[in-house]
Amino acid sequence: MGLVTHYTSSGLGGMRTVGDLVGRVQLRNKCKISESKKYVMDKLGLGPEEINDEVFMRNYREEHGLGVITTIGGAPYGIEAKINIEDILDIEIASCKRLREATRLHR
Amino acid sequence: MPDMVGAKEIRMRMGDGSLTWMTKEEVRADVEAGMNDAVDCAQVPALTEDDLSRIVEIMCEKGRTVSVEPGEEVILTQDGGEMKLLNDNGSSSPALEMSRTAAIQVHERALGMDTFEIAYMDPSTKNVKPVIGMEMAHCQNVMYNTVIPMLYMFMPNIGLYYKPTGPYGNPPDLMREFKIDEAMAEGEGAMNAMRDDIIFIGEKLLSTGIDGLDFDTTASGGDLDFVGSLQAVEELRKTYPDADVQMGMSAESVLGISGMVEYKGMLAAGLYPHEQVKLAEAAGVSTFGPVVNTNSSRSTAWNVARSVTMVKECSRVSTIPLQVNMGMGVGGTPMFETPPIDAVTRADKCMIEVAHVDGL
Repeated sequence: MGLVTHYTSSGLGGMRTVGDLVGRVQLRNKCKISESKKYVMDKLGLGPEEINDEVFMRNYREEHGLGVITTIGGAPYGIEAKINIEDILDIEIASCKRLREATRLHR
Repeated sequence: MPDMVGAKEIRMRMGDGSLTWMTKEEVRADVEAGMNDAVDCAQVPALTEDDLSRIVEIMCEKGRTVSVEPGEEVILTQDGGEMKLLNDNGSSSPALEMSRTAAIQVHERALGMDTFEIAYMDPSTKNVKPVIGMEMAHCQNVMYNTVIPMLYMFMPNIGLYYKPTGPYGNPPDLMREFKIDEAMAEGEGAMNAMRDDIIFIGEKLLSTGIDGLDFDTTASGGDLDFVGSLQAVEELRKTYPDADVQMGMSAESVLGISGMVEYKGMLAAGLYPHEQVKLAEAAGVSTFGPVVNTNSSRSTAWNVARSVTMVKECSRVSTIPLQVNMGMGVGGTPMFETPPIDAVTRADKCMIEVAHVDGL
């Protein structure tokens, strides 16, 4: 259970900033960390000082429906937020694709 | 030589986590010795003088913890999934009583994880197979209720395919009886059975919409385990070309249980991280997790320098991202179930700044 230690030394903070988005790009596109961050910055239209800023990203994520870690009644949650992430990152997410196929929904 | 021997004012951990005090000169000597051991074992280039000096500086920082500069953060990954809160197999779990999905959401919403995993309580391939339906339903539940990338973690673990837990003869036992041909045949039989089971559970799990798979502790059963896992990745890629496939190793060197088994023309036995990653790339792995073992009787300075030396070369030759293993007992961190934060953060910082990894 040393995850908090790693987070404070070197982690992006997941949904507190853009950690999940950079992680998604890295895993999906097999790209190194600098390329993954650049991809996210380009798609979100943000700079390096903004993507690791918890205060800025808290508001940005709420405004764009990307999911936040605290309770906001009615805000996109779980797979709803992931569908918005698909749009903003311009990538397909497997669980969203499955939802569309299982329910015959189309984007 | 009083001017060459400073005070023992550097607070240092040994590889078992115990505290010791060293002079800066002793730290420097341990860093050099650790690097030299890595060069000798893995046949990788030595670190530069700048690298050595930077590791010494980081190890000697006065603060309780250290960290990278803003902008230099990397991705955090994990192995063990929700079981790290519930019932980790290492008997080192908090044993919290909560649902599996809730335990995953704690990691997403409270612990700052960038990516996370789903894992069964006994996550070897052979043990996941009989409960695959339950695991698929659990994956569907998790994927509807989480946001961060979510992999399914399992351990290939060829060991369970040998007698007495499996149908195949144990190669080392057979070799002791000089039944060499039989040992080879039984080993390859176990490898093929493990590979087919990985493909079976992998295709089922990926069909639920999870983001990918984490092959954890790959090659724990040596070269046959490694090659069977690589073959499974190659096969899964045909059906799921876009899935995230993470491959984390179990040790720094692949044991030669067979000694003869190859993947794409290369013998698997004896490979070190910078060689392992090339086979992982060839198989279609998305991200690679090198392991360097901690020596519990040497200092953290020695262990970190040794780990960074091996991983730096792995990072240099790799075309895919590296998410290096930094848990207890690997990557220079002490072999203790609650690794001290002073040692862990120093190991993290050295690994990112000197070895240039993409994630932990």
